Formats: sequence, C-alpha cells, structure tokens
Amino acid sequence: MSNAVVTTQNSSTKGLAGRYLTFTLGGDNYGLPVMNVKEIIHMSPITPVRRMPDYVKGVINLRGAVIAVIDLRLKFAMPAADYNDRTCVIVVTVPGVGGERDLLMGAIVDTVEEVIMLSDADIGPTPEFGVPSDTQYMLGVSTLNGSVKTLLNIEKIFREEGVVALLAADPTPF
Amino acid sequence: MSNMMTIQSRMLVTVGMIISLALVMIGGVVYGVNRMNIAVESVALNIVPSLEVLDSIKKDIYFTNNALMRSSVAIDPNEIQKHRSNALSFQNKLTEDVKKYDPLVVDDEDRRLYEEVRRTVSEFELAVKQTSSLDSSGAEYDRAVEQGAAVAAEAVVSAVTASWNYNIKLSMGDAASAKSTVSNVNIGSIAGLLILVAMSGGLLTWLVRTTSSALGSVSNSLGNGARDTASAASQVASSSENLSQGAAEQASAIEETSVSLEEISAMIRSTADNARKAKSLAGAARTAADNGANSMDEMKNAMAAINLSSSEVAKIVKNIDEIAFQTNILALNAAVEAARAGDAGAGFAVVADEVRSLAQRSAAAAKETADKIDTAIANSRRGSECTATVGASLTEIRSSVAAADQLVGDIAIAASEQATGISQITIALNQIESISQSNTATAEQSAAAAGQLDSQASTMRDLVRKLDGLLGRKSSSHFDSLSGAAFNRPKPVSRGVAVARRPRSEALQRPSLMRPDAANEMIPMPELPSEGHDGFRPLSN
Repeated sequence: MSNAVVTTQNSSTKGLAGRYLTFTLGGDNYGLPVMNVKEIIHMSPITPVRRMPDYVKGVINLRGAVIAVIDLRLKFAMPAADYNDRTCVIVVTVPGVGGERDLLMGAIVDTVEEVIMLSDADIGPTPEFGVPSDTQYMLGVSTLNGSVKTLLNIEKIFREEGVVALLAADPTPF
Repeated sequence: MSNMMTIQSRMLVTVGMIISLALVMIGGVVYGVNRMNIAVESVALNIVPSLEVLDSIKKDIYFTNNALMRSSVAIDPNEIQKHRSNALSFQNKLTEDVKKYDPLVVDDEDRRLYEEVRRTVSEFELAVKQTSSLDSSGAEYDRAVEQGAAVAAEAVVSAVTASWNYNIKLSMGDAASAKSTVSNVNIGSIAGLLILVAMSGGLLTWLVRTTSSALGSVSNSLGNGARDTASAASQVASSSENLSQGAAEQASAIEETSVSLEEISAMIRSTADNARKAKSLAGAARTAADNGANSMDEMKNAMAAINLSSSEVAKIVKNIDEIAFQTNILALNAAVEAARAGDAGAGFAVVADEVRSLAQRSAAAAKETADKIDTAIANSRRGSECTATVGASLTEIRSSVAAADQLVGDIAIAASEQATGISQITIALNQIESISQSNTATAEQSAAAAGQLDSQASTMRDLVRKLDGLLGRKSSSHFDSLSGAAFNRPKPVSRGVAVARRPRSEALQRPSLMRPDAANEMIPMPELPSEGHDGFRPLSN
C-alpha cells in the first residue's frame, strides 16, 4: 500500500469545494476556507501575553480591536522562524460554539499565496498513514497544480488544545 | 815568530843586515885605507918634505961651507966677497930651510933631533958669524972657516943625517904600517866578504823560504777559495735558473689568472648592467602596479558606487515589492470579501483578481528586477572579490617588486663591490707580475753575477797557478776541472708565454766532458800541444 495521495470521490470530502486561501508555512502549502478568513494584514507589533502556551504570541491592535494571535508554526510544532516582511497575519473568524459570538483570531503564517477555487475533484481525503497520528486539523489535501496543499480545519486548530503531531507526519510532496 | 813579520820587514831585515855587513866591511876598508893614507901622507907630506928640507939644509950647509971655504981659499977679494955673499945667501937659505922643518916635526924624537939640528945650525951660524967678523984674507978666517964653520957644518950634517935617518926610519915604519894595513884590509875584506856572502845567503834563503811558504799557504787558500767560489757560483747559477723558471711559471699563472679576472670582470659588468636594467624594469613594474592599484581603487570606488546604486535600486525594488505585496494582500482581502459576499461580490471578485494579477505582475517584475539587481550585485561582488584578489595580487606584486628592487639594488652594490675587488685583485696581480719580473731580472743578475764569480774564480785559479809557478810548486790537484763553461746565463723570460724549460742537456754536455770517467769518451789528440787546455784535461795530473 502506497502513501500516495489518492484523489477519489469520497463523501467525506463532499462539501469541501470552495474558495480557499492558500498560504505557506515552513515551506509547505496550506489552505484555509475563505469563509473563515476575515482579512489579511501585515505583521504588526505584538503585545505579548503571559502565562499562555508558547504558540500564543500575544495580542495585536487591529483598528481598535484587540485580537489574539497565534504562531501556526509553533502550533504545528515546527521550528520557530523570524518574522520578515512577508509574514502575514490571517485574521480568521472562528465560529462560536454554543451561542458564543464568532471569535476573531490571528494566525501568523509565513506568506499568503492566493485565493483559489477548489472543486471536489481537486480535494482528496486525508491520506492514511501507517502511523497513528492526529489528523483532526486536516480537512483534506489538495493536489492542484501538482503541489500538495493541506487544507486546515480552523475550529479544530483554534479550539483544540494540545500538541499537534500533524505536521510531524506531513508527507513530503513528490 | 818569523811568520808574523811581513815580507817588507823581512826584506828590510835581510837587506839591512846585508847592508850593515857591507857597511862594516866598507868601514873596515875605509879605515884601512885611511890608515894607509895616513902612512902615505906621512911619507908624502912629512917624510919626503922633511927629507927634502934636510937635504936642502945639508946642501945649504955644504954650499955655505963650501962658499966659506972658497972664500977662505980665494985670493981675489971680489971672489972672496962673492963667496961670502954666497955663503951669506946660502946661510939665509939655510935659516929658512931650518925654519921650514919646524912644522914637519912629527914626534918627540924628531923634535929632539930637530932641536939638535937647530942647535948645530945655530952653532954653525955662530961660527959663520964669527967668520964674518973676520977678515977674509986672514988665517984666522981660514981657521975659523975650517975649524969653526966646517966643524959646525959637520955637526950640522951629522945632526941632519941623524934626523934624516930618523925620518927614513919613520918612513920605513910608515911603509911597514901601510903594508900591514893593506894585508889587514885584504884579510878583513875577504873575511868580511865571505861572511857577507854567507850571511846574505842565509838571510836570503830564510827570506825566500819563509816568503814562499807564506805565499804557498796563501796560494793554497786562494786555490781553495777559488774552488769554493766556483762551486758557490754554480750553486748560485742553478738557484737563479730555478728562480727564473719559477718566475716564468709564475708569470704564466698570472697571465691565466688575469685572463680569468678579465672574464670575471666582464661578467660582473654584464651583471651590473642587467641589475640596472632589472632595477629599471622593477621600477616600471612598480609604477604599473601602482597605476594598477590606483585603477583598482577607482574600480573599487566604481563598484562601491555600483553597489550603492544597486542597493538603492534594490531598496526601491523592495519598496515596489512591498507595494505589490500589500496590493496582493489587498487583492486577497478583496477576494475574501468578495467570496464572503457571494454572488454580489462576483464582479468585485473579478476586480480583485485583476488587481491581484496586477500585483503579481508587479511583484514578478519587481522580483525580476530584484533578481537582476541581485545578479548585478553578485557580479559586482564578484568584481569586488576579483578586485580584492587583483588588489592583493597587485600588493603582492608591489611587495615582490619592492623586494626584487631591493635585491637588485643589493646585486648592483655587490657587483660594484666585486668590480672593486676585481680591480684590486688586478692591481695586486700587476704587483705580483712586476715582482715576478723583477725576480726574473734579479735571477738574471745573479746568474750574471755567478758567471762573473766563476770567471773570477778561474782568473784566481790562473793567478794561483802563476803564483805556484813563481813559487816553483806543482799545481795542486785539488783544482777541479769545472770551468766557466758550465754557466749558461738563463734566457730572459718573455711575458705571457709559458716558457718551456731550457734544455738542460746542452748545459750539461760540456761539464760531462770534464768528468774523469768521461775521459774515454774524449777523442784522443795526443799530438796537439796542450797549452791553454789545462782546465779541460782529465784529473790525472
């Protein structure tokens, strides 16, 4: 059995078609549903907040609104990187649970690519790895244009606590 | 003792003794002759005049007496007067003659007899005087005459005769003494002559013997000295020949050395020229390196300017890129909003896409430009690195050129010092050469001196032979037969030519003829007179 990404029509991937905002993180491509994205801004000074997990960098001031930002690299247990002029903060809208209003949170990513339209055919299910791993964060995998994009589940990322071993088992694009 | 006397003194002694002997002999003869002369004189100057005077006295007496007798006999008064005057005159003469005898008296006996004569004469005179007073015709007169005067006359005559006899005796004595003197003189002369001859012979023999022995020893010494001189002369000649040969070899070695020195000199000169050229080339290289360094500096400045402009352009490009990025983000935001707006935002989505594509184009262009800039900067950096490398190379070149310049300077100094040293060596070589030439001249001189010495030695040998001949000795056999023929003067050494050694065979040929064992090789010429070939005869004298 190969670890190749198989694009198959899967009911688990139904309903994933749509527009995705692609970004890079640690050299890998990821995607977020556009619906979750509020806006994209440059890096701005972060005010650190104490007694938070290390991937919670702090808060930023977005036109008067204070938004918590997390470093997705640290969140995905990647080595931290310095912030450069390409580093962006994707302001995502995390749907509220149980009647809460939607949360605005920021995710620090390396670069923002584009908004692409993905059809069902382009999205494949999360591949099966021979190793039991935490793949809740992955909505699926897209192989558009030959590059593998991991589609992320916002709620899972921003809601769930815990160390993510996802990207530790990220398959290398071939 | 007699050896210490010089020949002069010996001869003086001999001659002096001979002469003194002769003088003694002559003195004896002279003395004898003087004695004989005395006797003769006595006879001649005394006896004979005495006898004459006595004879005159006697005659005077006779005549006087005769005159008186005649006067007494005569009858004629004139004759009587004449005879008496004659008697008077004879008497006066008698008186004078008696006086004449006075100085002739020789001794006491003669004086006594003379006094006797005078006495008798004075008695006669008295008697005559008595007669004069008488008349001549008287018998008293005759008596006076006959007895007085005649007797007195006879007394006178006897006295005169006694004196005459005495004088005769004296003369006989003189004659006898003269005879004895003559015989003494004869004997003495003969004896003295014999003694003289004997002593002369003895002295002359002594003189000759001692002189000849002294001269003989001197001749021996001279002969030895001549032989030694000849041998020394031959040694000197051989040493001077060696010296001249050594000087010749020295001269040829000097010639070779000076040729080598000239070559070295030429090489040093060319080295110095090359050093000068190298120095000038090094200077040109340094100048070029300096120029290169200056150009390098300019290039660095240009590159720095390029970098500066590139970095400024890069900044601008970066600005553009940022703008494009921002625009992209805006476009993305717009697309997001459009997507969230759904269908209402479709047109907006298109606009957002277009904007996004524009932004991407800008970004692409900016990226391209940035790439170009990067390339340019990389090229510039490469150029800088090359510049740095070239600069380092140029610096190395400069330092190497400086070092080379220094070395070339040292080479030039060393070359000049070498040239100085070479010139000093040349001067020293010239000195050595002149010394060598003077050595050769000295060798020639000493060879000439040796030849002269040898000729002097042979002359001395001849003189010694003559001396021996005079002395009546045989020529000593210690005379070697080496003659001056063994001495060839060394030929003058010419400069710059390796003088071949003089063939010694011809120098030794003639001496070989003179060796005793070479007599067999001689062509026998017994008939020819051997005078003048003494030195060439084999040593078989």
